[in-house]
Amino acid sequence: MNLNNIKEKKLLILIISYLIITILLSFNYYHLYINTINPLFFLIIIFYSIYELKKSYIRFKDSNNYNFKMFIIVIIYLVFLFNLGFIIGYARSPYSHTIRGIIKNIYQLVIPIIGIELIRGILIVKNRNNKGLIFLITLILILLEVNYWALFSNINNPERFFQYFCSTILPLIFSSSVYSYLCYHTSYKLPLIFRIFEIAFQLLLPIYPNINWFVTGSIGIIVPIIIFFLFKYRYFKIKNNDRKMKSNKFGMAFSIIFAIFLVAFMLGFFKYEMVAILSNSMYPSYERGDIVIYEKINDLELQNIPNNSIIVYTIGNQIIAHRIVDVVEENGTIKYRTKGDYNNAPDSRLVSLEQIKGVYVLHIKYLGFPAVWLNEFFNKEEAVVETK
Amino acid sequence: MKDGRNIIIAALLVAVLTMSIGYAAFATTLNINGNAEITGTWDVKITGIEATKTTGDADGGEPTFTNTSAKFDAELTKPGDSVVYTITVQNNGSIDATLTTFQLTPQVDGSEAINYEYTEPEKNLTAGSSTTFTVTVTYDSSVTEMPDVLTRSATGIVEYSQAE
Repeated sequence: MNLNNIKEKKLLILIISYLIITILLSFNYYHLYINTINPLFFLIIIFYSIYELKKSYIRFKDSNNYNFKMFIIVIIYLVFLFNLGFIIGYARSPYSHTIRGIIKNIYQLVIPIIGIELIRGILIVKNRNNKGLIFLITLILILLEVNYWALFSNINNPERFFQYFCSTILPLIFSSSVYSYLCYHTSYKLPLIFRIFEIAFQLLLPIYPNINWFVTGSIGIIVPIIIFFLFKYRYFKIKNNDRKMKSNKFGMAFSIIFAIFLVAFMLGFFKYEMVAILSNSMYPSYERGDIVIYEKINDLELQNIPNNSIIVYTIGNQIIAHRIVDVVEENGTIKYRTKGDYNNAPDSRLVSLEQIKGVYVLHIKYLGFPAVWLNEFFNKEEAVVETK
Repeated sequence: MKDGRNIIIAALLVAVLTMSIGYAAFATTLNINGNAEITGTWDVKITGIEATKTTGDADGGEPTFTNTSAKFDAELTKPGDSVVYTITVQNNGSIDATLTTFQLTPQVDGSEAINYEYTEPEKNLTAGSSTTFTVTVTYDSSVTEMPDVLTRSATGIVEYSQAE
Protein backbone atom coordinates (compact mmCIF):
# COMPACT_ATOMS: atom_id res chain seq x y z
CA MET A 1 0.00 0.00 0.00
CA ASN A 2 1.90 3.04 -1.23
CA LEU A 3 1.07 6.56 -0.30
CA ASN A 4 2.21 9.27 -2.63
CA ASN A 5 4.05 11.30 -0.09
CA ILE A 6 5.26 11.20 3.44
CA LYS A 7 2.76 13.80 4.70
CA GLU A 8 -0.22 11.70 3.67
CA LYS A 9 1.34 8.67 5.29
CA LYS A 10 1.68 10.65 8.53
CA LEU A 11 -1.92 11.85 8.24
CA LEU A 12 -3.19 8.30 7.79
CA ILE A 13 -1.18 7.06 10.79
CA LEU A 14 -2.53 10.00 12.82
CA ILE A 15 -6.13 9.12 11.88
CA ILE A 16 -5.65 5.43 12.73
CA SER A 17 -4.10 6.40 16.07
CA TYR A 18 -6.97 8.76 16.75
CA LEU A 19 -9.46 5.98 15.93
CA ILE A 20 -7.85 3.79 18.61
CA ILE A 21 -7.95 6.70 21.08
CA THR A 22 -11.64 7.27 20.17
CA ILE A 23 -12.54 3.67 20.98
CA LEU A 24 -10.61 3.73 24.26
CA LEU A 25 -11.98 7.09 25.41
CA SER A 26 -15.56 6.15 24.47
CA PHE A 27 -15.82 3.90 27.51
CA ASN A 28 -14.33 5.81 30.40
CA TYR A 29 -14.07 9.44 29.26
CA TYR A 30 -16.95 9.68 26.81
CA HIS A 31 -18.18 13.07 27.99
CA LEU A 32 -14.73 14.64 27.80
CA TYR A 33 -14.13 13.01 24.44
CA ILE A 34 -17.39 14.08 22.78
CA ASN A 35 -17.45 17.63 24.17
CA THR A 36 -13.80 18.63 24.01
CA ILE A 37 -11.29 16.22 22.52
CA ASN A 38 -13.16 15.25 19.35
CA PRO A 39 -14.11 18.78 18.17
CA LEU A 40 -10.63 20.07 19.06
CA PHE A 41 -8.91 17.31 17.11
CA PHE A 42 -10.99 17.99 14.01
CA LEU A 43 -10.53 21.74 14.36
CA ILE A 44 -6.76 21.20 14.14
CA ILE A 45 -7.34 18.84 11.19
CA ILE A 46 -9.37 21.55 9.42
CA PHE A 47 -6.61 24.15 9.78
CA TYR A 48 -4.02 21.65 8.57
CA SER A 49 -6.21 20.57 5.64
CA ILE A 50 -6.92 24.12 4.50
CA TYR A 51 -3.17 24.78 4.49
CA GLU A 52 -2.49 21.57 2.57
CA LEU A 53 -5.29 22.07 0.07
CA LYS A 54 -4.21 25.66 -0.62
CA LYS A 55 -0.72 24.47 -1.40
CA SER A 56 -1.78 21.78 -3.80
CA TYR A 57 -5.13 22.93 -5.06
CA ILE A 58 -6.26 21.13 -8.18
CA ARG A 59 -9.21 22.53 -10.03
CA PHE A 60 -11.37 19.84 -11.54
CA LYS A 61 -13.13 20.12 -14.82
CA ASP A 62 -16.85 20.75 -14.35
CA SER A 63 -16.30 21.09 -10.61
CA ASN A 64 -18.80 23.96 -10.20
CA ASN A 65 -21.32 22.15 -12.32
CA TYR A 66 -21.15 19.08 -10.06
CA ASN A 67 -21.34 21.21 -6.92
CA PHE A 68 -24.45 22.90 -8.25
CA LYS A 69 -26.04 19.53 -9.01
CA MET A 70 -25.29 18.33 -5.51
CA PHE A 71 -26.81 21.53 -4.13
CA ILE A 72 -30.02 20.84 -6.06
CA ILE A 73 -30.08 17.20 -4.93
CA VAL A 74 -29.66 18.07 -1.25
CA ILE A 75 -32.36 20.75 -1.39
CA ILE A 76 -34.81 18.33 -3.05
CA TYR A 77 -33.92 15.67 -0.45
CA LEU A 78 -34.48 18.06 2.47
CA VAL A 79 -37.77 19.36 1.04
CA PHE A 80 -38.89 15.72 0.66
CA LEU A 81 -37.77 14.92 4.22
CA PHE A 82 -39.59 17.92 5.64
CA ASN A 83 -42.76 17.10 3.72
CA LEU A 84 -42.63 13.54 5.00
CA GLY A 85 -43.68 15.07 8.30
CA PHE A 86 -47.07 15.98 6.82
CA ILE A 87 -47.72 12.25 6.38
CA ILE A 88 -45.88 10.77 9.36
CA GLY A 89 -46.18 13.72 11.76
CA TYR A 90 -43.75 16.15 13.35
CA ALA A 91 -41.98 16.16 16.68
CA ARG A 92 -40.06 18.82 18.57
CA SER A 93 -36.39 18.94 17.69
CA PRO A 94 -34.39 18.35 20.87
CA TYR A 95 -31.59 20.66 19.67
CA SER A 96 -31.13 24.00 21.36
CA HIS A 97 -31.90 26.99 19.12
CA THR A 98 -30.33 29.74 21.19
CA ILE A 99 -27.23 31.45 19.77
CA ARG A 100 -25.11 29.72 22.41
CA GLY A 101 -26.67 26.36 21.61
CA ILE A 102 -26.15 26.78 17.87
CA ILE A 103 -22.48 27.76 18.34
CA LYS A 104 -21.99 24.79 20.66
CA ASN A 105 -23.56 22.46 18.09
CA ILE A 106 -21.40 23.84 15.30
CA TYR A 107 -18.34 23.18 17.45
CA GLN A 108 -19.41 19.73 18.57
CA LEU A 109 -21.18 18.38 15.47
CA VAL A 110 -20.34 20.40 12.36
CA ILE A 111 -16.58 20.68 12.86
CA PRO A 112 -16.01 16.89 13.02
CA ILE A 113 -18.03 16.50 9.79
CA ILE A 114 -15.95 19.13 7.97
CA GLY A 115 -12.76 17.56 9.35
CA ILE A 116 -13.70 14.08 8.19
CA GLU A 117 -14.59 15.26 4.67
CA LEU A 118 -11.35 17.24 4.36
CA ILE A 119 -9.34 14.19 5.42
CA ARG A 120 -11.25 12.14 2.85
CA GLY A 121 -10.54 14.83 0.25
CA ILE A 122 -6.79 15.01 0.90
CA LEU A 123 -6.21 11.27 1.11
CA ILE A 124 -8.44 10.10 -1.74
CA VAL A 125 -7.85 12.83 -4.31
CA LYS A 126 -4.10 12.36 -4.14
CA ASN A 127 -4.23 8.55 -4.26
CA ARG A 128 -6.76 7.90 -7.00
CA ASN A 129 -4.78 5.01 -8.46
CA ASN A 130 -4.77 3.06 -5.26
CA LYS A 131 -8.24 1.53 -4.83
CA GLY A 132 -7.15 -0.60 -1.88
CA LEU A 133 -6.08 2.51 -0.05
CA ILE A 134 -9.36 4.27 -0.87
CA PHE A 135 -11.21 1.31 0.64
CA LEU A 136 -9.04 1.48 3.77
CA ILE A 137 -9.56 5.25 4.14
CA THR A 138 -13.33 4.81 3.77
CA LEU A 139 -13.35 2.06 6.38
CA ILE A 140 -11.33 4.17 8.84
CA LEU A 141 -13.62 7.16 8.33
CA ILE A 142 -16.70 4.97 8.90
CA LEU A 143 -15.16 3.62 12.12
CA LEU A 144 -14.27 7.15 13.18
CA GLU A 145 -17.90 8.25 12.99
CA VAL A 146 -19.33 5.34 14.98
CA ASN A 147 -20.56 6.26 18.44
CA TYR A 148 -18.98 3.37 20.36
CA TRP A 149 -20.58 4.37 23.61
CA ALA A 150 -24.06 4.09 22.10
CA LEU A 151 -23.14 0.94 20.21
CA PHE A 152 -22.00 -0.92 23.32
CA SER A 153 -24.70 0.55 25.55
CA ASN A 154 -27.31 -0.98 23.27
CA ILE A 155 -25.57 -4.34 22.95
CA ASN A 156 -27.39 -5.93 25.91
CA ASN A 157 -30.76 -5.39 24.26
CA PRO A 158 -30.81 -7.22 20.88
CA GLU A 159 -33.88 -5.35 19.67
CA ARG A 160 -32.41 -1.93 20.39
CA PHE A 161 -29.04 -2.98 19.02
CA PHE A 162 -30.71 -4.08 15.78
CA GLN A 163 -32.59 -0.78 15.53
CA TYR A 164 -29.47 1.21 16.31
CA PHE A 165 -27.44 -0.72 13.77
CA CYS A 166 -30.09 -0.27 11.03
CA SER A 167 -30.74 3.42 11.69
CA THR A 168 -27.16 4.56 12.30
CA ILE A 169 -24.42 2.13 11.29
CA LEU A 170 -25.89 0.89 7.98
CA PRO A 171 -26.59 4.43 6.65
CA LEU A 172 -23.07 5.39 7.76
CA ILE A 173 -21.56 2.56 5.70
CA PHE A 174 -23.64 3.43 2.61
CA SER A 175 -23.18 7.19 2.80
CA SER A 176 -19.46 7.09 3.56
CA SER A 177 -18.86 4.73 0.63
CA VAL A 178 -20.75 7.07 -1.70
CA TYR A 179 -18.86 10.12 -0.34
CA SER A 180 -15.59 8.36 -1.12
CA TYR A 181 -16.84 7.57 -4.62
CA LEU A 182 -17.75 11.23 -5.18
CA CYS A 183 -14.40 12.32 -3.80
CA TYR A 184 -12.64 9.87 -6.09
CA HIS A 185 -14.24 11.51 -9.14
CA THR A 186 -14.19 15.15 -8.03
CA SER A 187 -13.12 16.58 -4.68
CA TYR A 188 -14.11 16.84 -1.01
CA LYS A 189 -16.64 19.53 -1.92
CA LEU A 190 -19.48 17.28 -3.12
CA PRO A 191 -19.83 15.26 0.10
CA LEU A 192 -19.24 18.39 2.15
CA ILE A 193 -22.09 20.28 0.45
CA PHE A 194 -24.48 17.40 1.13
CA ARG A 195 -23.44 16.92 4.73
CA ILE A 196 -23.40 20.60 5.71
CA PHE A 197 -26.94 21.15 4.41
CA GLU A 198 -28.15 17.93 6.03
CA ILE A 199 -26.75 18.77 9.48
CA ALA A 200 -27.92 22.40 9.23
CA PHE A 201 -31.44 21.11 8.52
CA GLN A 202 -31.30 18.95 11.66
CA LEU A 203 -29.79 21.59 13.90
CA LEU A 204 -31.79 24.64 12.92
CA LEU A 205 -35.33 23.40 12.38
CA PRO A 206 -37.53 23.71 15.49
CA ILE A 207 -39.54 20.69 14.44
CA TYR A 208 -38.47 17.54 12.68
CA PRO A 209 -40.41 14.79 10.87
CA ASN A 210 -41.25 12.19 13.49
CA ILE A 211 -39.54 9.37 11.64
CA ASN A 212 -38.78 6.13 13.44
CA TRP A 213 -35.65 3.97 13.18
CA PHE A 214 -37.01 2.13 10.13
CA VAL A 215 -37.63 5.29 8.09
CA THR A 216 -34.34 6.84 9.25
CA GLY A 217 -32.44 3.72 8.21
CA SER A 218 -34.28 3.38 4.89
CA ILE A 219 -33.67 7.01 3.95
CA GLY A 220 -30.07 6.72 5.10
CA ILE A 221 -29.51 3.83 2.71
CA ILE A 222 -31.67 4.79 -0.27
CA VAL A 223 -30.61 8.46 -0.56
CA PRO A 224 -26.85 7.73 -0.89
CA ILE A 225 -27.66 5.07 -3.48
CA ILE A 226 -29.76 7.57 -5.47
CA ILE A 227 -26.90 10.09 -5.31
CA PHE A 228 -24.48 7.40 -6.46
CA PHE A 229 -26.82 6.45 -9.30
CA LEU A 230 -27.29 10.06 -10.46
CA PHE A 231 -23.61 10.87 -10.48
CA LYS A 232 -22.42 7.59 -11.92
CA TYR A 233 -24.96 7.24 -14.71
CA ARG A 234 -26.01 10.80 -15.44
CA TYR A 235 -23.48 13.41 -14.38
CA PHE A 236 -20.02 11.83 -14.57
CA LYS A 237 -19.51 11.20 -18.23
CA ILE A 238 -17.48 8.04 -17.85
CA LYS A 239 -16.63 6.60 -21.24
CA ASN A 240 -17.86 3.09 -20.76
CA ASN A 241 -21.17 3.07 -22.53
CA ASP A 242 -21.33 -0.62 -23.32
CA ARG A 243 -24.26 -2.99 -22.91
CA LYS A 244 -23.19 -4.14 -19.43
CA MET A 245 -23.17 -0.56 -18.21
CA LYS A 246 -26.70 -0.01 -19.49
CA SER A 247 -27.86 -3.24 -17.90
CA ASN A 248 -26.32 -2.16 -14.54
CA LYS A 249 -28.02 1.20 -14.85
CA PHE A 250 -31.47 -0.31 -15.31
CA GLY A 251 -30.81 -2.89 -12.61
CA MET A 252 -29.91 -0.21 -10.11
CA ALA A 253 -32.83 2.04 -11.11
CA PHE A 254 -35.19 -0.90 -10.66
CA SER A 255 -33.65 -1.73 -7.27
CA ILE A 256 -34.08 1.85 -6.05
CA ILE A 257 -37.72 1.96 -7.14
CA PHE A 258 -38.37 -1.44 -5.56
CA ALA A 259 -36.70 -0.35 -2.28
CA ILE A 260 -38.82 2.83 -2.13
CA PHE A 261 -41.95 0.81 -2.87
CA LEU A 262 -41.10 -1.72 -0.16
CA VAL A 263 -40.48 0.97 2.47
CA ALA A 264 -43.76 2.72 1.55
CA PHE A 265 -45.58 -0.63 1.74
CA MET A 266 -44.09 -1.46 5.16
CA LEU A 267 -45.10 1.97 6.42
CA GLY A 268 -48.70 1.36 5.39
CA PHE A 269 -48.93 4.01 2.66
CA PHE A 270 -50.93 1.65 0.48
CA LYS A 271 -54.33 0.04 0.89
CA TYR A 272 -52.66 -3.30 1.59
CA GLU A 273 -50.33 -4.23 4.45
CA MET A 274 -48.76 -7.46 5.59
CA VAL A 275 -48.09 -9.34 8.80
CA ALA A 276 -45.85 -12.35 9.51
CA ILE A 277 -47.51 -15.35 11.16
CA LEU A 278 -45.87 -16.67 14.33
CA SER A 279 -48.11 -19.56 15.37
CA ASN A 280 -50.13 -22.37 13.81
CA SER A 281 -53.43 -21.24 15.32
CA MET A 282 -54.96 -20.77 11.84
CA TYR A 283 -53.66 -24.04 10.35
CA PRO A 284 -54.53 -25.26 7.68
CA SER A 285 -55.64 -21.87 6.26
CA TYR A 286 -52.10 -20.60 6.78
CA GLU A 287 -49.32 -21.44 9.18
CA ARG A 288 -46.28 -20.26 11.03
CA GLY A 289 -43.79 -18.53 8.75
CA ASP A 290 -46.40 -17.40 6.19
CA ILE A 291 -47.16 -13.79 5.39
CA VAL A 292 -50.74 -12.54 5.41
CA ILE A 293 -51.59 -9.60 3.18
CA TYR A 294 -54.61 -7.70 4.46
CA GLU A 295 -56.69 -4.85 3.10
CA LYS A 296 -57.39 -1.76 5.19
CA ILE A 297 -61.10 -0.95 5.33
CA ASN A 298 -63.17 2.13 6.12
CA ASP A 299 -65.51 2.75 9.10
CA LEU A 300 -68.64 1.63 7.24
CA GLU A 301 -67.05 -1.58 6.01
CA LEU A 302 -65.79 -2.26 9.54
CA GLN A 303 -69.36 -2.65 10.79
CA ASN A 304 -70.35 -5.06 8.04
CA ILE A 305 -67.59 -7.63 7.88
CA PRO A 306 -69.24 -10.93 6.91
CA ASN A 307 -69.12 -13.87 9.26
CA ASN A 308 -66.31 -16.34 8.48
CA SER A 309 -63.98 -13.57 7.25
CA ILE A 310 -60.45 -13.46 8.64
CA ILE A 311 -59.64 -10.15 10.29
CA VAL A 312 -56.32 -8.69 11.37
CA TYR A 313 -56.58 -6.87 14.69
CA THR A 314 -54.46 -5.65 17.57
CA ILE A 315 -54.42 -6.40 21.29
CA GLY A 316 -51.87 -4.09 22.89
CA ASN A 317 -48.74 -4.47 20.78
CA GLN A 318 -49.79 -7.84 19.38
CA ILE A 319 -51.25 -8.24 15.92
CA ILE A 320 -53.58 -11.21 15.51
CA ALA A 321 -55.20 -12.65 12.37
CA HIS A 322 -58.17 -14.86 13.31
CA ARG A 323 -61.53 -15.80 11.78
CA ILE A 324 -64.83 -14.14 12.77
CA VAL A 325 -67.20 -16.77 14.19
CA ASP A 326 -69.91 -14.50 15.56
CA VAL A 327 -71.05 -10.88 15.50
CA VAL A 328 -72.06 -9.62 18.94
CA GLU A 329 -73.82 -6.38 19.87
CA GLU A 330 -72.61 -5.10 23.22
CA ASN A 331 -74.03 -1.83 24.67
CA GLY A 332 -75.16 -0.77 21.19
CA THR A 333 -71.76 -1.32 19.56
CA ILE A 334 -70.77 -4.12 17.24
CA LYS A 335 -68.02 -6.48 18.35
CA TYR A 336 -66.67 -9.60 16.71
CA ARG A 337 -66.01 -12.98 18.30
CA THR A 338 -62.92 -14.56 16.72
CA LYS A 339 -61.32 -18.00 16.69
CA GLY A 340 -58.20 -19.58 15.27
CA ASP A 341 -59.13 -22.41 12.85
CA TYR A 342 -56.83 -24.82 14.69
CA ASN A 343 -58.04 -23.80 18.16
CA ASN A 344 -60.81 -25.68 19.97
CA ALA A 345 -62.45 -22.63 21.50
CA PRO A 346 -63.08 -19.03 20.41
CA ASP A 347 -60.72 -16.31 21.64
CA SER A 348 -61.48 -15.11 25.17
CA ARG A 349 -61.82 -11.41 24.31
CA LEU A 350 -64.25 -9.85 21.84
CA VAL A 351 -62.73 -7.62 19.14
CA SER A 352 -63.99 -4.03 18.96
CA LEU A 353 -64.02 -2.06 15.70
CA GLU A 354 -61.14 0.23 16.65
CA GLN A 355 -58.87 -2.81 17.14
CA ILE A 356 -59.34 -3.97 13.55
CA LYS A 357 -56.55 -3.18 11.07
CA GLY A 358 -57.99 -4.92 8.03
CA VAL A 359 -59.40 -7.99 6.31
CA TYR A 360 -57.39 -10.95 5.04
CA VAL A 361 -56.78 -10.95 1.28
CA LEU A 362 -54.16 -13.63 0.65
CA HIS A 363 -51.16 -15.30 2.20
CA ILE A 364 -47.71 -16.11 0.86
CA LYS A 365 -46.00 -19.22 2.16
CA TYR A 366 -42.66 -19.15 4.01
CA LEU A 367 -41.95 -15.47 3.30
CA GLY A 368 -42.49 -14.52 6.94
CA PHE A 369 -39.83 -16.82 8.41
CA PRO A 370 -37.08 -14.15 8.61
CA ALA A 371 -39.44 -11.97 10.69
CA VAL A 372 -40.42 -14.99 12.82
CA TRP A 373 -36.78 -15.92 13.47
CA LEU A 374 -35.88 -12.34 14.25
CA ASN A 375 -38.83 -12.19 16.62
CA GLU A 376 -37.69 -15.34 18.40
CA PHE A 377 -34.16 -13.97 18.57
CA PHE A 378 -35.46 -10.84 20.26
CA ASN A 379 -37.73 -13.03 22.41
CA LYS A 380 -40.36 -10.36 22.32
CA GLU A 381 -43.84 -11.56 23.18
CA GLU A 382 -45.64 -8.46 21.97
CA ALA A 383 -44.05 -8.65 18.55
CA VAL A 384 -45.80 -7.52 15.40
CA VAL A 385 -46.82 -11.01 14.54
CA GLU A 386 -49.91 -13.07 14.98
CA THR A 387 -49.95 -15.16 18.13
CA LYS A 388 -52.23 -17.88 19.37
CA MET B 1 -26.65 26.78 -19.03
CA LYS B 2 -26.64 29.76 -16.68
CA ASP B 3 -30.23 30.65 -17.59
CA GLY B 4 -31.22 27.05 -16.93
CA ARG B 5 -29.58 27.21 -13.53
CA ASN B 6 -31.38 30.43 -12.65
CA ILE B 7 -34.73 28.87 -13.51
CA ILE B 8 -34.00 25.85 -11.31
CA ILE B 9 -32.88 28.04 -8.42
CA ALA B 10 -35.96 30.25 -8.82
CA ALA B 11 -38.21 27.18 -8.89
CA LEU B 12 -36.55 25.81 -5.78
CA LEU B 13 -36.87 29.08 -3.91
CA VAL B 14 -40.53 29.35 -4.89
CA ALA B 15 -41.13 25.77 -3.72
CA VAL B 16 -39.40 26.33 -0.39
CA LEU B 17 -41.16 29.67 0.10
CA THR B 18 -44.56 28.12 -0.67
CA MET B 19 -43.79 25.36 1.76
CA SER B 20 -42.78 27.85 4.44
CA ILE B 21 -46.03 29.79 4.01
CA GLY B 22 -47.94 26.52 4.16
CA TYR B 23 -46.03 25.56 7.28
CA ALA B 24 -46.81 28.87 8.95
CA ALA B 25 -50.48 28.38 8.09
CA PHE B 26 -50.60 24.78 9.30
CA ALA B 27 -48.30 25.24 12.28
CA THR B 28 -51.13 25.86 14.68
CA THR B 29 -52.93 22.69 13.68
CA LEU B 30 -49.92 20.44 13.35
CA ASN B 31 -49.90 17.65 15.84
CA ILE B 32 -46.43 17.89 17.31
CA ASN B 33 -45.85 15.07 19.74
CA GLY B 34 -42.84 14.45 21.91
CA ASN B 35 -39.26 14.51 20.77
CA ALA B 36 -38.00 13.71 17.30
CA GLU B 37 -35.85 10.60 17.16
CA ILE B 38 -32.85 12.08 15.42
CA THR B 39 -30.53 9.13 15.44
CA GLY B 40 -26.81 9.41 15.52
CA THR B 41 -26.61 12.26 17.97
CA TRP B 42 -29.73 11.68 20.09
CA ASP B 43 -30.27 8.50 22.00
CA VAL B 44 -32.10 9.38 25.24
CA LYS B 45 -34.18 6.41 26.27
CA ILE B 46 -35.84 4.68 29.15
CA THR B 47 -33.65 1.62 29.58
CA GLY B 48 -35.33 -0.14 32.47
CA ILE B 49 -38.19 -0.28 34.92
CA GLU B 50 -38.64 -2.63 37.83
CA ALA B 51 -40.74 -2.95 40.93
CA THR B 52 -38.05 -2.37 43.56
CA LYS B 53 -40.20 -2.43 46.71
CA THR B 54 -43.59 -3.90 47.54
CA THR B 55 -45.55 -3.47 50.76
CA GLY B 56 -48.20 -5.86 52.05
CA ASP B 57 -49.73 -8.17 49.45
CA ALA B 58 -49.03 -5.85 46.52
CA ASP B 59 -48.02 -7.26 43.17
CA GLY B 60 -45.93 -5.06 40.89
CA GLY B 61 -46.98 -6.99 37.78
CA GLU B 62 -44.82 -6.77 34.69
CA PRO B 63 -44.17 -3.11 33.91
CA THR B 64 -43.28 -2.37 30.29
CA PHE B 65 -41.46 0.46 28.62
CA THR B 66 -40.72 1.94 25.23
CA ASN B 67 -38.02 4.48 24.42
CA THR B 68 -39.84 7.38 26.06
CA SER B 69 -42.75 5.91 27.99
CA ALA B 70 -43.22 3.41 30.79
CA LYS B 71 -46.41 1.60 31.74
CA PHE B 72 -47.16 0.25 35.22
CA ASP B 73 -49.88 -2.16 36.16
CA ALA B 74 -49.98 -2.66 39.92
CA GLU B 75 -52.33 -5.01 41.74
CA LEU B 76 -52.99 -3.94 45.31
CA THR B 77 -55.27 -6.06 47.48
CA LYS B 78 -55.73 -4.12 50.72
CA PRO B 79 -55.49 -0.50 51.93
CA GLY B 80 -51.92 0.52 52.64
CA ASP B 81 -50.40 -1.80 50.01
CA SER B 82 -47.87 -0.10 47.77
CA VAL B 83 -45.35 -0.74 45.01
CA VAL B 84 -42.31 1.39 44.22
CA TYR B 85 -41.14 1.30 40.60
CA THR B 86 -37.68 2.50 39.70
CA ILE B 87 -37.22 3.81 36.18
CA THR B 88 -33.86 4.32 34.52
CA VAL B 89 -33.34 6.89 31.76
CA GLN B 90 -30.05 6.80 29.88
CA ASN B 91 -28.42 9.26 27.49
CA ASN B 92 -26.42 7.20 25.01
CA GLY B 93 -26.27 10.01 22.47
CA SER B 94 -23.50 12.51 21.93
CA ILE B 95 -25.37 15.59 23.21
CA ASP B 96 -25.95 16.65 26.83
CA ALA B 97 -29.68 16.60 27.53
CA THR B 98 -32.06 18.07 30.07
CA LEU B 99 -35.17 16.17 31.06
CA THR B 100 -37.84 18.78 30.51
CA THR B 101 -40.94 16.84 31.41
CA PHE B 102 -41.95 13.77 33.26
CA GLN B 103 -45.70 13.31 32.93
CA LEU B 104 -47.54 10.59 34.78
CA THR B 105 -51.06 9.90 33.59
CA PRO B 106 -53.08 7.44 35.69
CA GLN B 107 -55.78 5.44 33.92
CA VAL B 108 -59.01 7.48 33.95
CA ASP B 109 -61.45 4.62 34.59
CA GLY B 110 -59.17 2.80 37.05
CA SER B 111 -59.72 2.57 40.79
CA GLU B 112 -59.72 5.95 42.53
CA ALA B 113 -58.47 4.28 45.68
CA ILE B 114 -55.11 3.76 43.97
CA ASN B 115 -52.81 6.79 44.00
CA TYR B 116 -49.62 7.51 42.11
CA GLU B 117 -46.73 9.66 43.30
CA TYR B 118 -43.31 10.17 41.77
CA THR B 119 -39.98 11.73 42.58
CA GLU B 120 -38.72 14.39 40.17
CA PRO B 121 -35.89 12.95 38.05
CA GLU B 122 -32.45 14.54 37.98
CA LYS B 123 -32.82 17.12 35.21
CA ASN B 124 -29.29 17.09 33.82
CA LEU B 125 -28.47 14.06 31.77
CA THR B 126 -25.04 14.52 30.24
CA ALA B 127 -23.96 12.40 27.28
CA GLY B 128 -23.12 8.92 28.49
CA SER B 129 -24.88 9.23 31.86
CA SER B 130 -28.09 7.81 33.32
CA THR B 131 -30.56 8.78 35.99
CA THR B 132 -33.22 6.96 37.97
CA PHE B 133 -36.44 8.08 39.58
CA THR B 134 -39.22 6.34 41.39
CA VAL B 135 -42.97 6.07 41.02
CA THR B 136 -44.92 4.89 44.06
CA VAL B 137 -48.35 3.29 43.68
CA THR B 138 -50.40 3.18 46.89
CA TYR B 139 -53.77 1.72 47.86
CA ASP B 140 -55.29 4.59 49.83
CA SER B 141 -55.08 3.52 53.50
CA SER B 142 -58.13 5.59 54.44
CA VAL B 143 -60.44 3.47 52.25
CA THR B 144 -62.91 1.53 54.39
CA GLU B 145 -65.14 0.01 51.72
CA MET B 146 -64.06 -2.36 49.00
CA PRO B 147 -64.01 -0.40 45.70
CA ASP B 148 -65.60 -1.91 42.56
CA VAL B 149 -62.42 -1.66 40.53
CA LEU B 150 -59.16 -2.81 42.02
CA THR B 151 -56.66 -1.99 39.31
CA ARG B 152 -55.34 1.25 37.85
CA SER B 153 -52.54 1.46 35.35
CA ALA B 154 -50.54 4.59 34.58
CA THR B 155 -48.31 5.77 31.78
CA GLY B 156 -45.26 7.94 32.31
CA ILE B 157 -43.79 9.97 29.47
CA VAL B 158 -40.31 11.47 29.47
CA GLU B 159 -39.36 14.45 27.31
CA TYR B 160 -35.98 16.08 26.89
CA SER B 161 -34.11 18.85 25.13
CA GLN B 162 -30.52 19.89 24.67
CA ALA B 163 -28.78 21.16 27.79
CA GLU B 164 -27.44 24.69 27.42
